[in-house]
Amino acid sequence: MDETIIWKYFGEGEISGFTLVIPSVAVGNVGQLACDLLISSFNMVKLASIYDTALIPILGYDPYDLNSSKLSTCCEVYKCIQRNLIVLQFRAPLVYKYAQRFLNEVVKKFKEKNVKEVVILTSSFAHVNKHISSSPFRFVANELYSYKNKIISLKWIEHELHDTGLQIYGGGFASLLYQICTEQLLPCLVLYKYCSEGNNIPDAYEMIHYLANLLPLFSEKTDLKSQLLEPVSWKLLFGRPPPSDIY
Amino acid sequence: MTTYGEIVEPVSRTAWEDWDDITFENSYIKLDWMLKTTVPDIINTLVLLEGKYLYDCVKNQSDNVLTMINSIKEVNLNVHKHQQLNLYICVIRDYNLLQSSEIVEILKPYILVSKNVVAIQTKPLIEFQTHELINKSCLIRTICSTKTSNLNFDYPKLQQPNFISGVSAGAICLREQLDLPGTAVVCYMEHPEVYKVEEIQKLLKELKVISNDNSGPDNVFNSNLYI
Repeated sequence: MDETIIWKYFGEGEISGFTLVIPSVAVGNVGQLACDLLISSFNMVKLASIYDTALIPILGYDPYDLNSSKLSTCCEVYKCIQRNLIVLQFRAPLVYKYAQRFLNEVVKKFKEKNVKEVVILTSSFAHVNKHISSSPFRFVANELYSYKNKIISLKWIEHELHDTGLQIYGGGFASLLYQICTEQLLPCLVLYKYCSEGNNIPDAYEMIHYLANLLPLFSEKTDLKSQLLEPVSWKLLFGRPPPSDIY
Repeated sequence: MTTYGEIVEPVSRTAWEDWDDITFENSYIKLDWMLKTTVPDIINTLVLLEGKYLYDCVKNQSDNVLTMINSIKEVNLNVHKHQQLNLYICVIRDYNLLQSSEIVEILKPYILVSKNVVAIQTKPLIEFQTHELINKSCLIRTICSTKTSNLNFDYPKLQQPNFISGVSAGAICLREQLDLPGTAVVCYMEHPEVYKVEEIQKLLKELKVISNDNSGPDNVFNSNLYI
């Protein structure tokens, strides 16, 4: 079975020195929702789409523009030149048995393109949080990650590492991706939030708030929330409005 | 019913694998064709039909214009060839969503040599997301690849946030990725497995998949027994 990734590029591929944000498909899809907010708010441009057997196929029209006739698939790369930012958005989970090969190839490709660092956004089951009076956010960063001092000054809480390595319950492929980035000597940060399934839009907003404290993505002159733009695809997230004739 | 304190995850997550406690070795079925057949150099049109309704439409054909040439029993997939035309029809039902990309991979030789690929699937009408009032029992929408095909479907495009998944999505994704034409047709139906739907019968006839009206699901609801 041919198992190589098919990349399709849509424009200029220069991403040297960029920060790569990758969501892990996890509890409440917080990472993906946060990435949707980034893509929509910064009006990010699609750089590439990825096809592979590791991806559960999804197909629709552009979720950020109702009038667009461009197709949108399971895994796409978005770019914002002004902020040196790229987002690798996933719209479906990975198939476990192909995930390691797929993530290895993807990380290798981005390393070849000289991305500066990888930020993995994910979430974990709220019921495994033992310290419920503290912040629901945790982080893990490898030795190569350059903002570690800033994280310490921000007083973020570090994930408790055990002998078995990084384990984030409900966090999807985040641990695997972190391990691959570390093995390939790429600076990597994992940021996750303890949460439960439900309306996870507020979790995504909080995650962007957290991230904005670390990375200079937003203007400090205006309120952060006013700079965020929800994608049009978030409308009807909880189904159709009730039929009017029931009243 | 659940016991007090038991954590029950929403049904939507049942398609996922449990990444915290994976036991995938046994849960995957290895897919392989029943017969060793050769794929033609060129196929005019490949029609992928997904779901029970469409599966039954092909199964209940009475005049045998289609010949089954291969199958994969594990995922209820059959490939048929039209006896007079260079038309291939692949029908599939009741497969594991996690195996969609593997199924597309196994169908890849057919998908790549086809001039046109049309993937049709049925979905319950309740899943169609819109602000507008729906007063029809069947809605047909399309998703067309960037490269246009010479098959013209007179249906509106599938409005966001609606999307499709599975083998149909995979086949058209692959075509789009390789800059080849492809069209996904999604039929939202109120009663997907019960009634014959005129619009779908018409579409299948246009594509020469069926030639008579007796190919819909055979059900007492279609008879004169209940009015």
